[in-house]
Amino acid sequence: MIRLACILLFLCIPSVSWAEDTQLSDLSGRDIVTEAVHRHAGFPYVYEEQTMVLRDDAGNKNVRKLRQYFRIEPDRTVRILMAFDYPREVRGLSLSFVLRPDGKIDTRFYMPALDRVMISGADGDGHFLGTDFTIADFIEPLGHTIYKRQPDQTMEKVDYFVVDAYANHPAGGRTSDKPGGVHRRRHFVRKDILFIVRTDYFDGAGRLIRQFSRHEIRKTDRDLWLANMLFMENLQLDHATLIKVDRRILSEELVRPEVFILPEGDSGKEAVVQDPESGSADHALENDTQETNTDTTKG
Amino acid sequence: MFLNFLMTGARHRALTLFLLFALTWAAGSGLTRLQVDTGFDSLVPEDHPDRRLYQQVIREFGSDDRIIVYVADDALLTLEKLTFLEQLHNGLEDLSFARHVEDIFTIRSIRGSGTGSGGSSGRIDSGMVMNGAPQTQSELDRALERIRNHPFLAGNLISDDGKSLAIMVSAFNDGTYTGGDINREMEAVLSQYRTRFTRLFQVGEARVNAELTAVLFKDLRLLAPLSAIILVLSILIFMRCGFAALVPLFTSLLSILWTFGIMGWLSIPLNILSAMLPSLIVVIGSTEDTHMMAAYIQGLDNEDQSPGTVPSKRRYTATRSMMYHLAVPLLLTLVTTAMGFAANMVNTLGMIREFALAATIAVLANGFITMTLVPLALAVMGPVNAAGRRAGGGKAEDVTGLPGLFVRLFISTGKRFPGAVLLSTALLCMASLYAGKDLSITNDPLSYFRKDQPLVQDVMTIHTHLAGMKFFYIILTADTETGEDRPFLVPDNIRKLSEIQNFMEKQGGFDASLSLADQLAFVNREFNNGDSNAFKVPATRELTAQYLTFFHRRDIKNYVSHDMTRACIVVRHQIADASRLNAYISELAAVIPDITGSAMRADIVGENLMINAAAQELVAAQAGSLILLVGVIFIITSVMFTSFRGGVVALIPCLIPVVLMFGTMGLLGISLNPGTAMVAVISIGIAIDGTLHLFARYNALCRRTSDYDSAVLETVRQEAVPMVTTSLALALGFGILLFSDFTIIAQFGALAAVTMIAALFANLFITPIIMSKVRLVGLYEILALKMRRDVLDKSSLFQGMTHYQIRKAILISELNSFKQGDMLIERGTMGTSMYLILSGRVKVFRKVKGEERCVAEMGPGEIFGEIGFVRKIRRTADVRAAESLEVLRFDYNKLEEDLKFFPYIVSKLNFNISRILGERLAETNNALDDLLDHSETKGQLLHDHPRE
Repeated sequence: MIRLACILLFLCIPSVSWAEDTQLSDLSGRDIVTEAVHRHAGFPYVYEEQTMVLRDDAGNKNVRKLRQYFRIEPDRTVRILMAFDYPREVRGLSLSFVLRPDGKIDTRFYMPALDRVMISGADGDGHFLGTDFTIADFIEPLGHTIYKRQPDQTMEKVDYFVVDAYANHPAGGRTSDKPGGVHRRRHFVRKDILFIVRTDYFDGAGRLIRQFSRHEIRKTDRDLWLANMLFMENLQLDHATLIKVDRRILSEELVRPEVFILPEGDSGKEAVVQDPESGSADHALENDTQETNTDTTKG
Repeated sequence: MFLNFLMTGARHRALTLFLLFALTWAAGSGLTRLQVDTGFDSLVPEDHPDRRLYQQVIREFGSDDRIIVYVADDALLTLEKLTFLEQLHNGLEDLSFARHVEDIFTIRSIRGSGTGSGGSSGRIDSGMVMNGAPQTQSELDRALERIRNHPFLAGNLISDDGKSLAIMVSAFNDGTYTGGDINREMEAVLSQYRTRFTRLFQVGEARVNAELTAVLFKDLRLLAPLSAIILVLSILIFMRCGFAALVPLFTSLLSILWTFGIMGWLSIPLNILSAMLPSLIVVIGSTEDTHMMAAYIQGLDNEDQSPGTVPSKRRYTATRSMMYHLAVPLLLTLVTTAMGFAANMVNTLGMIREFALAATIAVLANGFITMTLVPLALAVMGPVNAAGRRAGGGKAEDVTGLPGLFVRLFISTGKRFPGAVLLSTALLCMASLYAGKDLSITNDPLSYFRKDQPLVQDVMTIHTHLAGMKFFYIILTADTETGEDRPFLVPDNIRKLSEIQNFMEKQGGFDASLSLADQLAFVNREFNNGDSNAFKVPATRELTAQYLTFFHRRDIKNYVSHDMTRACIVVRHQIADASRLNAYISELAAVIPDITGSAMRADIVGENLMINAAAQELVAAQAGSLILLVGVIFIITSVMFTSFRGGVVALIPCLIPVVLMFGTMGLLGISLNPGTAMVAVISIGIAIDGTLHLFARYNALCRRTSDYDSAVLETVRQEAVPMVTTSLALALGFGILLFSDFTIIAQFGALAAVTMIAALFANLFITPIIMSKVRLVGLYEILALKMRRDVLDKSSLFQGMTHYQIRKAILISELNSFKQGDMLIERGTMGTSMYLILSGRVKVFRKVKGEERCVAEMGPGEIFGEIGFVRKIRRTADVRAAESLEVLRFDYNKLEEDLKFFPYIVSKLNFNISRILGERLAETNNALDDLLDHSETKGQLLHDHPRE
């Protein structure tokens, strides 16, 4: 998911030229966001082991463990699969996203207790598995968004570009551009690494309803900046979701296309996808893998 | 000394004025600290065992303090109206105290299609019923389909016809906001949309609080002036004296100021019962003022009215006379009335306790002000030309009008047919007890309002179209030590929730209930292509857990704890009758353990349940207050009348009105509530005053006559005017409370008025009948009796008796006064009395050789007529007062009757009389011996022993 946060942005990237001598003050909001997306949309094959913590308004926490598989096909189709391992009752529950080049998203999930694959309909609010995230939170639809640069800000001695993003809907469309009533997003982009570290979501009345922040941002060997911790706070519900990457492997072997195939009701109750500790994963690691240390780096 | 103390106001006027001014200033400065409390907290006993549990439950499962916003419109579910509805939703969400807003925009809908069994892919939509107001017709159609498909919306959040819906606002209040603040902010939001919908209103604790406060102040503004008007008018009518009307008005105003000021200092908040405090002060306080004015006017009558007497002296003398006669009754009535209110302090309800404390302070403050200010006012500016008005204590022939009617009624019924009157009363009391045996009980804050109040109407509208506005929770806690991990993932455990809900449905008293079982059954149905047969708890723990991943924590927060160890059934209802609700809850509490088994604990909690349970305690609290008050009054009257019999007798006329009151409540269907629960004790506290006045008057009259029947009649005649005046004033004063917008205060007023009238009847019909059967001597009379100790000590009649016994003996005798020359005993008449001379001298005359000769002269301490006392015999000599004379008369017949009332004293007197007679016999024998020895002194013998 964290990988998703950066890489999905790649989907809608138009070609952009970012000259070294570009004056920062001359950049438009679109330039800044486009460059941020471009820079960090990197390696197309990622495997992650994650811990997801849900916190309710009383401070109670529920913990889930999952594996995430990410792959970008040559035709720019993006496949993501999230497979839950903990708690034991949901082991094998899998959530699959397929983001097609035309922008359409196909969401399915596999319910091991029913041994059935279900399609998530378009009428939903997009929140998945009781979290405060929606899949839309990881997509930057550059082609359908109007950006307005706002005055730069400095917070805790770090300089940020501030860019407001509005949905560019046809006339007569909803004022909100996303489920949940989001009308405007405000990106805070770190000037030094052009990385979106925070996104605030506002509704039509200008109320801050959610806040998405990325933490433990670090640079990989491939010159990418990745966040190892994502935090979404739902201010309306006083609820929050934290996703922490416990392990990340950049490897095509671990995210082969067959991994993303959900069973169609005849595969039994076991998890859909293979554990990376299996032989194939080992093989992948030997060939083209890079395991990142998620414990030590901070952005 | 006590009298001197009570005359302080008249004697030290400047000092008293200064003291009153200082105390008024001190008390009045507390007014700024006075708080208003119309919260529900004071309706729940502080020591309620569920209080802590309730706090835990609302922390975990959300508050049951929910404001319901009701929206109705014929075109409610249209694009236009839904847009306004979303704006309204957003406006409510923006309120700082709104923790959560629940409506069609926040209720989760899970919709399945093509999700039948067989492993084929189906489609599931999980989102809000309306993800914002629909913008297009197709969006609206899909939203309406979700509404129709949702099993828990209809009748709960949306009416069956889709023309009205509810928005639930869960308020979080850490004390920052008052109910009024919340209500105001809610109204501010709603007012922006009132024109957009046919009906738009909100109900909830905040509005109830706000309206309670509003009505409280309205009552305060209305009732006190009305009471004052009634007071002034009734006093003017009965006493025909403007000053007499002004005095209680002024003392009442001062008392109200003191009371509210002291309440401020003592942090006793104004609550809805306090709304009647000013009226109570005016009404109850005025009774003593009326008695005082009557006694003052009587004092003017009795003292010298010669033209040369200066008015100031006349005022002072009349004031002193007033205090002399009223000191003890005033003190006693003050104590008993205060106790009547104070007895309610044993109540567990904070509201009643606070009111009881405030009212006790009010009565005591009024008593103090009355006893200091009234003598001062009368001594300085009391009317001097009011003599002859005889507001009270008039002679029998003066009793006219309504009081006269009572007197005539008593003569024609109570006096002639006492047995029939007593029997009728007993039957009436039994019928009342029967009628009142099934009193309903309620403590529902809504029941405090009149049914035609908009708030009550609004609540009923919601109840009619949706479900009740009252919530409570049933919490099941699984034993995690012996059971499974996260037990409410286990289908068997979840089914227990359904079973409990099924039982509640069979009970038929509750409007709706929701639980985790419902949510899971809903999802299960949708994952099975909407098959209604699949509307049941999932079959496995894994399926349950996997279904739950489709919910946001917020969606199920009200139904299950985060660790799945506790589950909650949310129940809505609108039951106001505490007995009925308690019966349902008791039944439920009895059945749940059978459903859950021993591995689960069940708790049924909710603020309205605690309030309701407290209502049940009203009965016990009232019984406790009654027992306490009756016990204390019994002790006081027993001591006062130096006899337990006196204590019992004094209580009977006070208990009769209370019994009749319960009968009235039963007949009229008036519930026992925090208002009506106080009537009994307050009434006893007030009614006993009349009884004490009657007994005091009767005792005084009995000391001057041996004809007890005539003493009773005279008592009724003399007390009729003040008793009718005060009782009517009290009844009217309490009746004023009928104008209150609070039902409980109106009911309190009506019942108290009825009880006052019943007490009047009891005191003027029953008390005299009982009184005529007893002879009581007041302790104060005994202690205050002025007697010449030298005279009594040397009297052989009281030999061997303590001073207390002597005083009591004197008081059960008859005190007669004679002027010089009055005939006490006439020769040839039959007599059964003997006399003890207290002061003055008598002369004994006999005819000696046809000539009237004084054969003896006696002075203080000597007795005469003792032979007639022991044997009915013709008197053989005349006895005349040689000067102004005061004697105690001991009549044989009267003492014979008094023997049963005062056996020890009378037997002691008889013993002494026997000894006196023995001594006299010995003297006679000696004289006879002398006669035999000295026959020439025969004539002299007769001269020495002239007595019979």
